[in-house]
Amino acid sequence: MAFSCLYKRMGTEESFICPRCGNQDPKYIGMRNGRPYCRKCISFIGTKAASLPSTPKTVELKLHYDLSGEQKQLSRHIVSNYLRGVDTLVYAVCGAGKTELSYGVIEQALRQGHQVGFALPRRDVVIELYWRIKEAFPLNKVVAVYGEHTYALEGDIVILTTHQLYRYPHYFDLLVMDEIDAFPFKGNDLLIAMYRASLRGHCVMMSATPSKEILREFHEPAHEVLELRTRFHKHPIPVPQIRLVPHLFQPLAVVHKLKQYRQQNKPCFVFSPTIAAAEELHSCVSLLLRGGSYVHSKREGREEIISAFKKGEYRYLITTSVLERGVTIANLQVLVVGADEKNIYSSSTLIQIAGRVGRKSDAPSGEVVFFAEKKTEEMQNAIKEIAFCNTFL
Amino acid sequence: MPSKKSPSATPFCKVCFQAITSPNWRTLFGESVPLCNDCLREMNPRLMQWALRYKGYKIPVRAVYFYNQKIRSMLFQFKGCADIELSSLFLGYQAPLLHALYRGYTLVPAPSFSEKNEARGFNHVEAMFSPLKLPFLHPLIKIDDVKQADLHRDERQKIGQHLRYDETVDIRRKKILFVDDLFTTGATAKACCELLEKHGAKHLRILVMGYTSENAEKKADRNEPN
Repeated sequence: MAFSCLYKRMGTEESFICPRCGNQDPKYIGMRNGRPYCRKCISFIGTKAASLPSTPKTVELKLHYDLSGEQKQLSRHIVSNYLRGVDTLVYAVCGAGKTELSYGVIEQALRQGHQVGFALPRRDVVIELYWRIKEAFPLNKVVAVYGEHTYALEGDIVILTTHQLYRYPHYFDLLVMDEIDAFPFKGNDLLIAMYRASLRGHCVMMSATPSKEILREFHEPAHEVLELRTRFHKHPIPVPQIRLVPHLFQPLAVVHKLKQYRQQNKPCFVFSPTIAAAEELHSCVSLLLRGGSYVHSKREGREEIISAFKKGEYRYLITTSVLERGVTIANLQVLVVGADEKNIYSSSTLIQIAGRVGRKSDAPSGEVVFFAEKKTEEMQNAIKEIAFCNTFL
Repeated sequence: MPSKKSPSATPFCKVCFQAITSPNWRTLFGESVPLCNDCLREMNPRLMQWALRYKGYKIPVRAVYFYNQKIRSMLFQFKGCADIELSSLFLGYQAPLLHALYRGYTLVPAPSFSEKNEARGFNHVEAMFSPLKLPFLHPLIKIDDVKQADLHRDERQKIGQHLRYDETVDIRRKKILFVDDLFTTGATAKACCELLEKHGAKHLRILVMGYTSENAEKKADRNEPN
């Protein structure tokens, strides 16, 4: 009797495929009142976005600056790819102005009355991007959708975290995705399935450090990889320096560097591998040097601290990898403590961190210092990659 | 072609979906529960007991967990997302002990609005306490859809207005164990126990899954990840 139940149950489990996330692993399938249900995507419940009529919209693209020649050419290329129905991967270095590259194709899609989405893995970056896009497209309705901010779901341009994609099944004619190699989107089958389900038309992916799988996917037909190896201001990306310092003395080395930056009046990010290490480092460094703060994913009021830092209220900010992407601050310097932690600082993470420096055209140089006990392969790969991009100048 | 393994061959945790590799001493004393040691530690089961005093009554209360982040997210997934597979995990390894402690009692679940149960497909309190293997009775009815979690301390005390007693159910001379998922101010428990007491329940006991003070509840809500 018991075995027959089990057999019957297994039978239904195997034939069940989740219509939403495509999961068919029996591990993730539960039974409710005799019916199978998917437990993998169960927490993604909420109101779905209503589909809007596709009427062509009046668009005015307002930029306070001109794109460089290369950017313009690439932007036109993306538009023509979109019109031909080709998915594009923009493989561009940090600070190349990837976001601006997508404005052309967004403008074109809006003119045709297409539904446009802009998805990013991180919530802080969504908020920042919302203001930038709103400024660039003043005539269109831009909405930001992220966790605990889901009051308005429909707009001409929807800027959302990848976690919110489930609200838009078969919805976007143009989906721009930035930072596709970032946690939590990277390697997350569930979010990737959600992204595929939400796409109705074609996508433009952007990354500075795409994984091998993504590159392989975009070398197939009806896909194209566009590369941009230089920054828009045509200055080299600062190459990180490695300082071999024993773990115990790293806080002192950090203080020494921070004092230098203070004299030069330059703000600084200090990256720390874990939350606990960030707090420890802050309690240590703040004894010797005032005027700093720390942030990590669990810190309350994180957004306020970051905006205060941007205004110049803090001189240095100790952070975990939450600020590794999407942040642009003028004249920023970067220190990485414990850069030899292989599990946290992969070469793509280190490239992203180094890419925070020298992003503005009026302050194109800066310093990136890795404090480590030993040189790891990841650190050397990151330095090699950045130096390689600089040879294209 | 994915390899087909029968689920019994490789046990996995039903909360985090990791394979259960390290043994658990609790399996020596009863059936094993599909819960890994890490999740169990985060849930942090500890039987707490105290007495609920009001209007001259003194009712013993037991709680299995102190409300924390893990319990909160699990309860949300269970109640809000209707994930019935979690139902047996809440009592988990406590089930045999509690079964012995409450032998001979009849369970009365806290009333929940029937339309909500239909939408969910099951009654969450009943599903949660079914591993106790004790009989259920449903004498209490909630006639309005009010959510205690949204209300203030003073408003919570008025829950009695939304409750009715189903006269067709006879609980006279029965040992009654009132069960609920959360105990915050105790307003629901008080109102329900008053009704049960009035209709002749003999030994009244309360068992709740999570105990929380109002502040702790708010704090856990605030610290929600992402």
